[in-house]
Amino acid sequence: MKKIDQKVLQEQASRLLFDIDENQIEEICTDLNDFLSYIQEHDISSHLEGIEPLFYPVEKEKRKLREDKEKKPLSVSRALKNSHTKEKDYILLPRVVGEEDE
Amino acid sequence: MSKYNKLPLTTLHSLLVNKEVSASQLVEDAISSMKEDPCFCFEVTCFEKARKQASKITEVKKEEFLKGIPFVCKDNFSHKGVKTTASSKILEDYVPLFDASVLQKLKKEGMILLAHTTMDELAMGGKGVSKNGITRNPYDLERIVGGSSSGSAASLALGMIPFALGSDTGDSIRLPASYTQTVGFKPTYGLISRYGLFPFAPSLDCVSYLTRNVLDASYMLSTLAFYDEKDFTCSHHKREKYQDYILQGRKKKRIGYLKEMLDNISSNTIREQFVSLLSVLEKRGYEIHSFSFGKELLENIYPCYMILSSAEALSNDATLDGIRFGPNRAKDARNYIEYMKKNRSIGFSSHIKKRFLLGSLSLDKNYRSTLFDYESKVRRLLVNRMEEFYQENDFLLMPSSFSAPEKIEDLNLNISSDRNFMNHLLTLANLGGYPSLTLPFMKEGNMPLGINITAPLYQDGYVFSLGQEIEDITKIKDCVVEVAR
Repeated sequence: MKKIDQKVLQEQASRLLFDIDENQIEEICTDLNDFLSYIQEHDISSHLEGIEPLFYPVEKEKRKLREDKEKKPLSVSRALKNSHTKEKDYILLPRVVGEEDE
Repeated sequence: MSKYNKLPLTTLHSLLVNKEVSASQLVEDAISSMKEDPCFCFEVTCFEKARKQASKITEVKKEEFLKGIPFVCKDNFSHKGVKTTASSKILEDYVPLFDASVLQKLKKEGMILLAHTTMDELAMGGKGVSKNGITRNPYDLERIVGGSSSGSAASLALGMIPFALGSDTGDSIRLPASYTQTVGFKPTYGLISRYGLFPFAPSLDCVSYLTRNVLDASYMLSTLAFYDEKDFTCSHHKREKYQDYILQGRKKKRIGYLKEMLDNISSNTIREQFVSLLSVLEKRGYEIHSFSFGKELLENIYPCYMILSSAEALSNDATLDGIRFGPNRAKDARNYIEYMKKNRSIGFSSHIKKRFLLGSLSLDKNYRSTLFDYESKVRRLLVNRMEEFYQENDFLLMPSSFSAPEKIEDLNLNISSDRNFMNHLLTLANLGGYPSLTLPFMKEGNMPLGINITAPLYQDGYVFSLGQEIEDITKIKDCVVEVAR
């Protein structure tokens, strides 16, 4: 497994839409690399041949869809209650359309 | 110390039915003990709302088991009209518009919610570290209480309330229960609705809770386990009166323990006490079996859990961007991307960012096959091995922890530091969705340490039955502690 470097972490962070402090990135990088080394040291790939992934703990139970009944939804005014800047039925944001760095 | 709320649910119910105490008195009794908060248990309180609710209760009938009884919930349950933050800055000032299904149910039963308890930020952690501080262990204020249901465990241990709601994704109810001499229960995945529980890792999350004793825990499951169509992962499996497993003496008899666990217990005291318990259970007619799980496999529990939970958390928490809710720290942002970036940069702690980065790496095309895909198969392997264990055994029994909780001055939040497989055995129950109970067992020095029972899917009732048997052996239950002044 390829070691990760600070550049890789900064790229991931950018995709996740947050910044990492300069004085924290080295520590985060070291910790994650140590953790990935642990995974490699305890690799059990040889035991995984023919093994299907498990994503959900209770596979055998069949799910039933609920009936498609119309229900009263949340009103717009209530739905916007936690938003900081709004106008009538809309949340106000800085520009959405256009160049990101303009 | 409270006068009444240190008592178990069953006793409080009798007092209410016999009019020896009123709901209002119970609420005032809880509030007076909660106001001090020596361990940092609470994020937000709702005392006036509670007082109003209590004042309307004039009578409690025998069949109204929970009516008039105060409780607290972890700060990750949607509570309509009350600030709910999951102990994170990213949800500062967030006021939910609806109640979580479990809170709705408890309110309908007449239970009175008094406060939201502290937790590890967004439930990602096991040390009780939140945005405003660290929750301390009432048995030793220099030590952690564990997490992420930290405040729930500490407040129950302090006798402030008789019931505390929480959640368990890796061991977040069962480990704090071990550290506080309380009973912590995680049910079979899907038995209790998660609608309104802020998700951390949805394939692992379970609404869970803490009580003073096992009988109380069984009564609470009977109330909280109901089918909820609002939670698509809610099971259709038949719900039961789980207390009947104790009251009617319904038992299963085959107890297994992991050979690797016993071989690696470093404390002679813990080993001796555990072996002694097995011996007593054997004399009481239980079959005791050793099972070799495979150390190599056990050493993979932690990375499996960390990779899968981090990937799921990253996906869920992508909605936390400061737009529909959350703090607006980006008034000078030039565009919506910058807006979200500034809010998320300030809103998440570095520990949370680290978890998200791990999740993101595990889903990245360059690492996915060796991380997420690989660990999803490891999860299957671990669960397959547990199913083999359950062919021969009805229960997995083990100490809930193998050392005293960390001292706060030595606190280490690094992901890579906790490499001892023994510290992650409780997570097997989350990976497989199994019911799992921690109850008081012994003390190592002056610090409590619990015992844990895990059973196959939907055997929750039998877990309570064995739990009550162990309570009967140890005679340790209904424990409360007063913080030394």
